[in-house]
Amino acid sequence: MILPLWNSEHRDRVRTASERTRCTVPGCFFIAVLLWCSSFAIQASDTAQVSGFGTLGLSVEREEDLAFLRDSNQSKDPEKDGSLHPDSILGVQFSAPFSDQWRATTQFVYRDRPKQTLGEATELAFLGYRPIPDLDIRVGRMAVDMFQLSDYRRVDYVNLWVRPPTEVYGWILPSSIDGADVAYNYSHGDYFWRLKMQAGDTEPRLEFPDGSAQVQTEFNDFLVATLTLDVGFWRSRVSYSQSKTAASVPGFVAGLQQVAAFVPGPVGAEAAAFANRLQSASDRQVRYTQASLGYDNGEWLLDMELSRLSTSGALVPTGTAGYLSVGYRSGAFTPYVVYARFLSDQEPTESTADWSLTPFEGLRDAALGTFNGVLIEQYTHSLGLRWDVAPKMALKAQWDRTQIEKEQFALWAHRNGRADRDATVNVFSFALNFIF
Amino acid sequence: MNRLRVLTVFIVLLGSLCQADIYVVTHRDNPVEALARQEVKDLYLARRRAFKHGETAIVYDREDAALRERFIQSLVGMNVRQFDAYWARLVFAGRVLPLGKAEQDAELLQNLSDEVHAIGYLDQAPESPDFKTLLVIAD
Repeated sequence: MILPLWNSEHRDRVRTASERTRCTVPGCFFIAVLLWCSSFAIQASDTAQVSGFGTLGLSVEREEDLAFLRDSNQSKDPEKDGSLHPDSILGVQFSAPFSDQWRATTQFVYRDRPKQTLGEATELAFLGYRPIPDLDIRVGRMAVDMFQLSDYRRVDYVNLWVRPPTEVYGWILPSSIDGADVAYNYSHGDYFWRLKMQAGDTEPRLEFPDGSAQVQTEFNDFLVATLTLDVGFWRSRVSYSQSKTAASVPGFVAGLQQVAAFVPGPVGAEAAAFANRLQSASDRQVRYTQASLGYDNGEWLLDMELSRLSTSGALVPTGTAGYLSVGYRSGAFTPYVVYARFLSDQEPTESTADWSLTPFEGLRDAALGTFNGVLIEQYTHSLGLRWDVAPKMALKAQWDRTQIEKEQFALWAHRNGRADRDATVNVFSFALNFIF
Repeated sequence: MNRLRVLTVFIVLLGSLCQADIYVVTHRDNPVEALARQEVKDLYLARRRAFKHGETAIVYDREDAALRERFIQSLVGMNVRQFDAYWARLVFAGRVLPLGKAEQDAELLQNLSDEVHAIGYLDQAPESPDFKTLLVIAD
């Protein structure tokens, strides 16, 4: 899901100002309409409710030229070794019933991101309509419901860990989409079924891995279908989603095409191959399938999720990602262990031609950075403790030990060629979670 | 010996106090006459939003920590922390509105009077004939 602009020498890949304006003006208008509608509805209701969630979290690692990220769409500073930025968050939600059938909800979230704007802070803003009690229709901005925890991945209090495993949740770039969804609930005895369909578009923003520049990405024609079944202590879910990447080609492709046309031999041939691959990566479909299972009998907590990521040519991470987590509740304390893995099905691209005699090495590096900057191949063992210290408040401590394969560092902020070799990184995290 | 007897009486009293029933109540004008345990559970877990005849139910929780804990544990089989986390998932996902909460019995009964399709729970049967009990949950 990470768009691929990893070489700071090639900021021309960032869309030009006019392109950006073309996309953001309707976006701003849409947000304004959403906010107006939902705040109007909330004001019109005399029973508006305010609720919220938050985390004060510290994460520490001691690596040079490498820094921990919770999400790929955070600001990136490879220099940082200890930071409150990745996990700390504050969310406030306003919701109001308008009638038995109509309601409105807005949620504003302050967290670390490449750029702080009201539009990006608005994670939810929708009108909900319930024509019959078991059918929910929502129009506006909603969480992209791609994975088990997507709907509440930022509400750390409700999850066992300091954060959802980054191998599955760290690279999911779009968190909200603008569109609509429909959910049907069916309850029979101890069985609770829920079927949900979602459609929309999103334009998340992200930073280069060294934090030197930003880019706005696009995921269009998002479609998500989800089926969940809860029985007794068990929760299960399967889902499928697809979207299309932006129909645009990075600016430096023209440079590569020039090299292909005028430089003979292996360099020209490689430039042509790189240019072709970059060109054919635009407007491509990205697909995710997911299955998860959870168990909670009040004492034992078991969570597992497996997802398969594929594409018809887009430059996004692909492969298999999943985690397995076991926790044991003993009074207010819950120790837990987690194993999470992202298994890439792509190999890093390497250059075989000798570009050193040409002045175009920068173009080659930009292409390689773009291909390899999206790759993820890593696994993490985590050990943690949750302490429910007071009602609606939890303290957590967690140790993550991650093994990262060289050239596949997309889940980390890095620079100075740190991705050229493998890494074993220890991250220590402490968090205070609350809801109100 | 005497002291032991006092202690026994105290333990029995405490026991009966702990085992007090919980009454799920509504306004007498609500057409619903009784609810099965599973129906109440579904309403408190937001798995159902309406009574059998289709009217949307308004569900009230309580502030009283001891009563709430007993109710949630015996009806849903969760402890309060699990229940709060369960509801926080639903609310912050934008699936439902937060549960209404009443602090005192009087406040709950006032809400039930204002909204005929509302339900709530008490640790004693309502005295006023304006209200009726839909389910008694033995602790």
